[in-house]
Amino acid sequence: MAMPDDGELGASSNLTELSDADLIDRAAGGDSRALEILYDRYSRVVFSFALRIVGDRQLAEELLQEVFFRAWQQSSAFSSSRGTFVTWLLSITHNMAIDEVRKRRRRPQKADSEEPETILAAMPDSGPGVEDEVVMGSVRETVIGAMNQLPLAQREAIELAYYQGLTQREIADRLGEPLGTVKTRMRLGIQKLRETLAGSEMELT
Amino acid sequence: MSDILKRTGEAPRRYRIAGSGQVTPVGDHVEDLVSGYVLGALDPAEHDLIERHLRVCSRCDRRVAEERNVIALLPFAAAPATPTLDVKVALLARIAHSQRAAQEAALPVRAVRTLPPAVTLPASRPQATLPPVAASESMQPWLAALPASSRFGRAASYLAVPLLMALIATGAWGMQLRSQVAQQGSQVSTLQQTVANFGTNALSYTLTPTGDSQTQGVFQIGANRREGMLTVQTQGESIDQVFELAGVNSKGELVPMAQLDVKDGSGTTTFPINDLLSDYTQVKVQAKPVATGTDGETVLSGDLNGAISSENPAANSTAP
Repeated sequence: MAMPDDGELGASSNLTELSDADLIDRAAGGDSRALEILYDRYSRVVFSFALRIVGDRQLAEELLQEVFFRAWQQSSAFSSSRGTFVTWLLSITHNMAIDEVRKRRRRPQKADSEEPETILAAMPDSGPGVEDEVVMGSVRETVIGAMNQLPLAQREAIELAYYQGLTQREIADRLGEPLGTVKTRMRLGIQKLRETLAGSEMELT
Repeated sequence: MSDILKRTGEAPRRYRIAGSGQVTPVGDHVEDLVSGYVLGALDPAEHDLIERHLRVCSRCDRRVAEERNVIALLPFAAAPATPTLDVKVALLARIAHSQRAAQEAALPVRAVRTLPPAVTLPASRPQATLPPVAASESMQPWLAALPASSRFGRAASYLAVPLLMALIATGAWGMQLRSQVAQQGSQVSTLQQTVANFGTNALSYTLTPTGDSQTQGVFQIGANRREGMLTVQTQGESIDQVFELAGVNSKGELVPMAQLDVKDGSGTTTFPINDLLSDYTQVKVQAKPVATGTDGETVLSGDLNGAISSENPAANSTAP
């Protein structure tokens, strides 16, 4: 996509009206203001997600800064044909946050060993009117609704893998279940999520 | 086999020897591994197996893409939380620093590219560029009429003039380049000082919005206690606005400290702190009205809590 120059933006228009793809294009060209707009759009989502994984505000803020700095450095590598900007951003967030969790797990400390029951309890209820971003709020409610429809065992297997970075084998050890059972729970859980979410209309810019 | 591949689009079947000696067909579909793969929950050996399989199997690759689309929505289920404005300030400072560093690193490359051709003259062997003396028929008549020794001297002077001009030009260009480098180096140095000044030893105050204000702000006092930084972020319709930071002294009077133009919803400014901050109990940020000469509406405020001591300002290096 051609990057509009300042002249094309004109006085009546501004960066905040551009799409994510246009903004990341501009960021790739060295326009830090474009990245700032993207930060304003998605810092909350990234921060909330990082916080959900690492469970520590200070660490989540460090990750937030690192994720956006990495997005800035790698902006030219982003291709909108492979997915949305926010998906790319959250994928970076997930990788970095899970690396952090795994690093901490290798160091002996008690604060890191949340029990599965605690994780399930931490799953927030869908409360209306919490988010400023209507779209994000709507997506959140839909995803939580779909997760809540899963049998507890399936949801637990998915959450231990996705939010705590445990392998299937580690989950089996932790739960005292056969490895094959854990694999089946994950497969059925994602299948059920896919079916549930396929029925909902969601669009991420 | 190739006919079958063409007909069905199936991947070729290859085999590998696992550590246990068990033969695992790489070409077999790996649907039972897909969920673990998209969740990042496979052991390294399984991860390696599915990655190699996906390179040759479009069916499993599609399955992975479908499940990835589902997993990509999970981050949105996290409970909403708002980071502090400090993160944005630090990020933007870091980006500005990296830009300056990149510009500085790019300078020598640009210098090489823009070198005037005169610099590339083989100055150590000027005779190589002289016209052949024997080719007198191609000389100017007045030059051919001169004795050979004089012809050489005249030809040398012909070469010397452009060479001298080139050297003068190169010298002027070099001075200009050195000036540019010095200027940019100075900017980088200033920026580095700013980043260092507002780094870990700065005092940072997250300002509290007043009333229904949708404005957020952070006031920072640099580590040297002689510079301040104000960052303001606005939401809603009034995203372009002028704000004024003022200190509130013990008599309750507002003393202007800095003005900030906010464009597209956010802005940052640094400013010298000339007065003793110990005189101020509070800082306030006011949105300046269009008409001048009237007080603006206070949108942010923050207590300084006597964090700065007039006797020993440098001793207070921990943010509250």
